[in-house]
Amino acid sequence: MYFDSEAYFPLILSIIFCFFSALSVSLFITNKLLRKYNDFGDSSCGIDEYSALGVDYERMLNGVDPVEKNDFFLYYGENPYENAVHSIPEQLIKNGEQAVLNNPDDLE
Amino acid sequence: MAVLCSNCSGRLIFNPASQKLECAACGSSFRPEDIQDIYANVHSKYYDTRVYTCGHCGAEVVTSDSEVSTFCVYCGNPAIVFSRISKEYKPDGIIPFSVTKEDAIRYVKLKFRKNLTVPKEVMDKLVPDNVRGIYVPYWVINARFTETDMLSGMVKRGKHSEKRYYLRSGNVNLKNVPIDGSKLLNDSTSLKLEPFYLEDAKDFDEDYLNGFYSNISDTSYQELRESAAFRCHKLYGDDVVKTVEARDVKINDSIYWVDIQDDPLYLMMPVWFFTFKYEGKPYTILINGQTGKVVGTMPWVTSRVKMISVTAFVITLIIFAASFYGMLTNAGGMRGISNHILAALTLFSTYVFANSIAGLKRIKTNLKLTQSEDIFTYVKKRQG
Repeated sequence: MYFDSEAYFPLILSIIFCFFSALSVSLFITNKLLRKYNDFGDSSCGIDEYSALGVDYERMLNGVDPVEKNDFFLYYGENPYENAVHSIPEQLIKNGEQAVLNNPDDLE
Repeated sequence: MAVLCSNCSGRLIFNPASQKLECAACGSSFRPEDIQDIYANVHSKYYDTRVYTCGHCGAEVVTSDSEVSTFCVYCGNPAIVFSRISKEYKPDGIIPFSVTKEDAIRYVKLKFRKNLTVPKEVMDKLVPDNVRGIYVPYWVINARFTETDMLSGMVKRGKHSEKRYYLRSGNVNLKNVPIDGSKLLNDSTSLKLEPFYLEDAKDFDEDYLNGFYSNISDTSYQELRESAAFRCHKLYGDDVVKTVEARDVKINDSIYWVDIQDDPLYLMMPVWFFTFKYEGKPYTILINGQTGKVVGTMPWVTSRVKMISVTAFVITLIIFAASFYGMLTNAGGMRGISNHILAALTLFSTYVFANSIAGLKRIKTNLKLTQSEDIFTYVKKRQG
């Protein structure tokens, strides 16, 4: 087989492409194989499972400037449930007390 | 609390298939709600348990007072010692096992059979002795959740794609979200076990524990809030990316708050643990004891996977090399289409390469979660 000198560059490129493509396909097959036969239970429940009404989106802005992020987060940055008071089950209180006993340093 | 057969004083074991307590000695069967344990105080908020501690991973295994534990259900280590008799708070309810041990083994076999990459010695270890039923404590919460996100995605502009940014802010009320109440199970692992159907939950009765192990919730309220925030953020995040019409949508930054409503329910959920060791490393495959869902990543025989990868590589290389040779030498008039093929192949290969690498990384992460050494690290980390 004969290639003139001008053909070397595309030849080398072609070889690199060949290797890269073969490597990609090989990785693809390995990934699919392990996903199908070795790895299970990746899916989990969606929000519909736990909420009949779904998310109520108050604000949906498209094409915002990323530098405005801090302003947005400052605007929305207050904990809406800050003053909520709840009764805590005894088991959780006991576990909390136990955790403090085990790691008193955490209090500092 | 040991429950004995009223006909022959034999030991009663809960059978998930019949949902009854059965006596192995005389074959009598009883509904748990019909059994009256003369020693149990039904009005007490406590129940008696035996606590064993694993010398290897530090896990605490809890059994009913009639059960004896011989090895750790988390890491399979036999170095387990009786620690104490403990009075524990009664959970509010329990979802009894409905998947039997035989079914659990069958479900795992169905998933992994006819698979050349799973080591045979692992499948040989899939025997009843290595599968243990354990009631895992969960807190079932109702929560209010608010989140604000900055997202990004790629949109097409003429011939080019450009990155655009999006802001979303919203809230959601969530009902009956199960949050794993044990530090032993990684939150990422436990959420894969979902769904649990709460319609099958019964009032807590110690008789359901007969024949099984259980674990006590060891999380504090603060930790429950953190786990709840993680869970709700995951649920919200999966939904919010769908509101953006772009490619490769990602959440760049977010702030969120969760408010757990009063009286979260303390429930025991049924999980089968298949524990085994392979090449010195412990593994745990989980099976939802209510639905039979199998969660976990089996180890693979590296040499076989390598062989498959190399074979795929060589075959693809030959095919592509032949095609390129055809293009270069204009065999069959292929030179004319070479540019288009090269462009398509480059795009395809880059896409496939990136996706495959991400996929393999995910499998590796899942494998690490399955290795119960991770549970060990997790426990130690949480214990400080």
